[in-house]
Amino acid sequence: MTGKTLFRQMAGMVHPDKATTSEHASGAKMREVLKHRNEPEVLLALARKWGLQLDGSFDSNAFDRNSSTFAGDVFEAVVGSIIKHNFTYKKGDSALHGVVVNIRKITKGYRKGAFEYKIYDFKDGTVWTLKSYEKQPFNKIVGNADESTLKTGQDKVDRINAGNKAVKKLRQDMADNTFASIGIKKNKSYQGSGVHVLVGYRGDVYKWHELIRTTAKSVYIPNGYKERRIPVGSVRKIKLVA
Amino acid sequence: MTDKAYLHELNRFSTMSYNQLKTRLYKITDIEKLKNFAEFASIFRYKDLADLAVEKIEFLKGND
Repeated sequence: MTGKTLFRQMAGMVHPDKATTSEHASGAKMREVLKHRNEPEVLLALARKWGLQLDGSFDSNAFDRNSSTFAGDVFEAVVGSIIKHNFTYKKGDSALHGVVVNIRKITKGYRKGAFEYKIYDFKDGTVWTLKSYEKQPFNKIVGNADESTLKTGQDKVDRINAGNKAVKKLRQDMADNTFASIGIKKNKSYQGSGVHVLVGYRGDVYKWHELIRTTAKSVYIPNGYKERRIPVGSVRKIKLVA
Repeated sequence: MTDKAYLHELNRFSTMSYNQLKTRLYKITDIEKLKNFAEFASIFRYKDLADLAVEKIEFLKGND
C-alpha cells in the first residue's frame, strides 16, 4: 500500500466529475484530498470522516516509513500523528511512542529555520521536544490519534507552559524587587553616570565596579575591553562616584 | 573606616558561616565595626543577626 494509491482511490470517489457515480463527489472534498495528497494518515482520517468505502488494503492505519513498499513516498508528521522514535540515549530501552501535539518553526536563535515537535508520550504521560531541520525527524509514523488522546496531550503541554510562565514571572518579580531596593532602574544605560555597584559573584571577592547598563534581570560591568553580565540579585549596594 | 577596610570586612563576613558570625558578633565591642556588621547582616538577609547587632550598639551606647 502506498500513499499514492490511496490518493488515487480517494480522488476517484470525491472528484466532482464523478457526481453521477459517487455520492461523495464534491469540489471541497477534492481540494482537501489534494491538499493532503502526501499525508496518508490525514487522507485515511478524512476517508473515515466521510465514510468512504475504500479497498480492503486501506483498513489498517499502520504506516511504516522504513518499509520497502513506502520507498519514494514523502511522509510528514502533522498534529495528531502517532509516532515512534528511538530515543535510546534518553529513554533507555523503550522507544518514544506518542502523539504530535504541536509543530512550530523556530524563528530566532542559532536553530533558526528548524522545526520543533512537541510529543506527548501516552505510555508514561511525559512531554518531549524534538528539534530538527527535517520535516520528518521520526523513525516511524504509525497512525493517527483520536481526539481525546490529542486533547490529553494538549492539556499536558498547556499545563507545562503555564508553569514555565509562572516561574518566569516569579523571577522577574524578584528582580524588580531587587532593582527597587538597591535604587537603580532596569533597561537603562548608566554609561558615564558614575554609578558603581558592589558585586561579589561566583566566588569573587566583593569589589566596587562601574555600572555600564541594566537589562530586565541583569546588570553589566566592565570586564577588560568587554562587558560582563551579573544577575541583579548579586548586587549588594550602589554608590555614586563623582 | 577607609573603603579598603570596609571591603575587607565585607569579604571576611561573606566567607563566614552563621555560627561563626554569631561568635564574632559576641566578640566585637567597637561600635563602628558593629554598625558595619548590622549592615552586612541585612545585606546577606541574616535578619536576626542584624537585630542583635543593633541591640548591642544601643546597649554599648547606653553604658557610656
